Amino acid sequence: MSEDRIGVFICHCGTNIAGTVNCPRVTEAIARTDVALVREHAYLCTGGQAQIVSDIQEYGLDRIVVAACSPRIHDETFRTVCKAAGINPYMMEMVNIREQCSWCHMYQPDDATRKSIDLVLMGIENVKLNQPLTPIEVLMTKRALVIGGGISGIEASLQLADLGHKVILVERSPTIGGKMAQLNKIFPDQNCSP
Amino acid sequence: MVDVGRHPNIELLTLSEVVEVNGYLGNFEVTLRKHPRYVTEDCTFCGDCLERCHIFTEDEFNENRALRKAIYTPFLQSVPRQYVIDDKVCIHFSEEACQRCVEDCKKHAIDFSQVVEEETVHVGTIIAATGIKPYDPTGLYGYGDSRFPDVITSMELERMMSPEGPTKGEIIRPSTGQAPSSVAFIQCVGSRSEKEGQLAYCSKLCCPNTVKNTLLLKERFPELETYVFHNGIRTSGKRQERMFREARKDGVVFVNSFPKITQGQVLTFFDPLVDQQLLMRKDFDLVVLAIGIVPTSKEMSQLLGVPLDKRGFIKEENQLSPTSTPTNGIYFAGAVGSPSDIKQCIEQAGNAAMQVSKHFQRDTAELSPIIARVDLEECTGCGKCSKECLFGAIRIQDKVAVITEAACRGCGNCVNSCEFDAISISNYDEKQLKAQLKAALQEPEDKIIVFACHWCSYAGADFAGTSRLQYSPNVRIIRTMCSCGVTADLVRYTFALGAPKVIVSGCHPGDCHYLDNNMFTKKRVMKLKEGLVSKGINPERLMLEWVSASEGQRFVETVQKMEQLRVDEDEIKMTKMIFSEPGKRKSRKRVQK
Repeated sequence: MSEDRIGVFICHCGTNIAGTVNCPRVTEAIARTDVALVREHAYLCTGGQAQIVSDIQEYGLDRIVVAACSPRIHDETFRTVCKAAGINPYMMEMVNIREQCSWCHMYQPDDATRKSIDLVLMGIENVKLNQPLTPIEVLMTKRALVIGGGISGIEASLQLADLGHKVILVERSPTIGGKMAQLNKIFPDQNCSP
Repeated sequence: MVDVGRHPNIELLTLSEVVEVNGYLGNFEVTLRKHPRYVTEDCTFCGDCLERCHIFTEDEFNENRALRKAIYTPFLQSVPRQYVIDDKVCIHFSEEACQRCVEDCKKHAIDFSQVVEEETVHVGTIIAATGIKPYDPTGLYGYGDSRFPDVITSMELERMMSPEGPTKGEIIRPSTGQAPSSVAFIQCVGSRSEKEGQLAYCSKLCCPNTVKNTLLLKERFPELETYVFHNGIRTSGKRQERMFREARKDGVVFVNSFPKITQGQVLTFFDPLVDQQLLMRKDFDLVVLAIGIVPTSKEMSQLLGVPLDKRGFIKEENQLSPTSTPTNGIYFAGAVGSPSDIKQCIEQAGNAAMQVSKHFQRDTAELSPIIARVDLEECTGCGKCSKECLFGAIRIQDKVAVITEAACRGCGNCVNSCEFDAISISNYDEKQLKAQLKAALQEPEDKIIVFACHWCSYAGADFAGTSRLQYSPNVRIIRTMCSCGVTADLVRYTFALGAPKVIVSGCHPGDCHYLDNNMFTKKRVMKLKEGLVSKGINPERLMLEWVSASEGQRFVETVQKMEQLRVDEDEIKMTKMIFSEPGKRKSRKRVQK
């Protein structure tokens, strides 16, 4: 028995996943490993969030695997769920059994199911080695440096200054204005140089 | 401009330059060098000093087509409104020790005791807006040649047309001082040329600028014969096509051909389509070269540690963040990033200001913790990782590698460079990638392992799924942040586990989300393929393919191509054996023995 308390959550995504992948078979296979909990849900990203929170608390899970859609869509969602349940948001790994499994092997349900099991097993091995992480926090000096006093530097400085921010504008020549100041008129409306 | 000078939130430092930048988002230490103006803020701009000064030099504001004095103002609306003394020409600094301006200044605003000073400022963010310099066309179309005094640049024409310029707005032939009766504009001078020393890109401003000037000239001198020689007029900006049409209506002749200039300022031009057949010879009184623009970005790049694109402009982090550099907290605006007209400069400045302003909404900034970590037990401080890091996020201190956390982007390129397994990416640790591989290759038979970068290739595989494109279910995708995080060791390990086929996939060259780190990937994979060849293994079993986030089809084609490859069992067994031998990775403890 592993010391980790891993929970595995398998999303049906309605029929998007469950229509191709035999989810009960995945659950059955994963339940044979040393994870603390395997749970299926119709929609983990919506109604399932509360279920994950209560399971983490009830089963004392310290890390979870969410087998659902792409982490590019819902990584943040499930990190937030972890945070809500009181575990480190980085103790979560997503396994993509929708975009990279059910949707691209629609006519091979058995193979898709076998692949889903493999992918979840990979996710479990991965999450076992995850470390709790804290976002790096740095102090913000609320002063901007603008290098160059041409039209771009002038405009950027004024915008920031008007928003109430402190700006240091550095210009190499004796005056601001840059190349713009040398122009007689500017296109397309032949206005004077600003 | 005046608003800048009087804004309470803006500290304006003219005659100043940035000499060094250190630090990271929220905490940049910037060393500035301030050159002396020799005129204090007590200056009232009365002009008495100007009358007394008798030293003349070329006026760079008027493109050296006029003279100014040693004490001067670049132009009347200069900000700050203080004169400045040019210490390169002022004879106070010579044996003469001239004091004439000092004597006449009632405000005692002239201070020759000023010296160069350095100052360090602490800022949270930086916007680079150093713009461009005009292309120097010396040697082209007779420019700078005494035989062709009436060949001028577009910038010189700007000054000539300005009421404040050297001719007070009169248009003249420099050789005679008389008004011209014909003028020729030549486009793309220095631009869109592959020739040595010229610019391969379109400078973008020259076409609309020339059209603007032809309109202004025709308005004042309807009889002036005006020709524009070009290689296709590009007026795609807002209201620019209308401007072009108006110019043609006004009688400006546009000729799609580049002329040659000969003695007497005769331009001969040819039809490029009809075997260089001579179309026409014509005498022009004035020739204006529409010169291209050259970025000033090289110096900025060195100072700020931000990359340049192939043309020499600052490279944006990616095309959807047009004013962000890959370094957190450093932004850019205007022509330092690409040829931009005034309107575009203003738009970019607004965008950069918005990026900076977002940071200033909070007292701290939160950055992703998925970054490199150093195992202090194993690190020998050899410095290889530090050299490979394009973000300058690793330094060697007290004989170990130290990560500047706020500067690290977590790409993983440093992991490959470490011979001691002393550096890893949090939660994308090589051990984790190996654990995934081990699980994926329990039954390796026909598996295809695809290492896909988070930003492009993994997203491309997602897009294939979203589009319901079907491919073989034996594909196993392993996600890394960047393809450069796929180490040589990892690829060897994959083969050692019995994987028949491996694909390494990342963003297209130039699209990498970590500068050009995918070029390291390319180099590494090529080397690995050579290694396979030398061991008698079919190198096609390792494939490198660039797949973008929108290329679901390409992802599928890539795995299908790999699917076609036949690898027999004996070969897999042999590969397994070769790569199962202990790797070359060193342990610090072993080295010390």
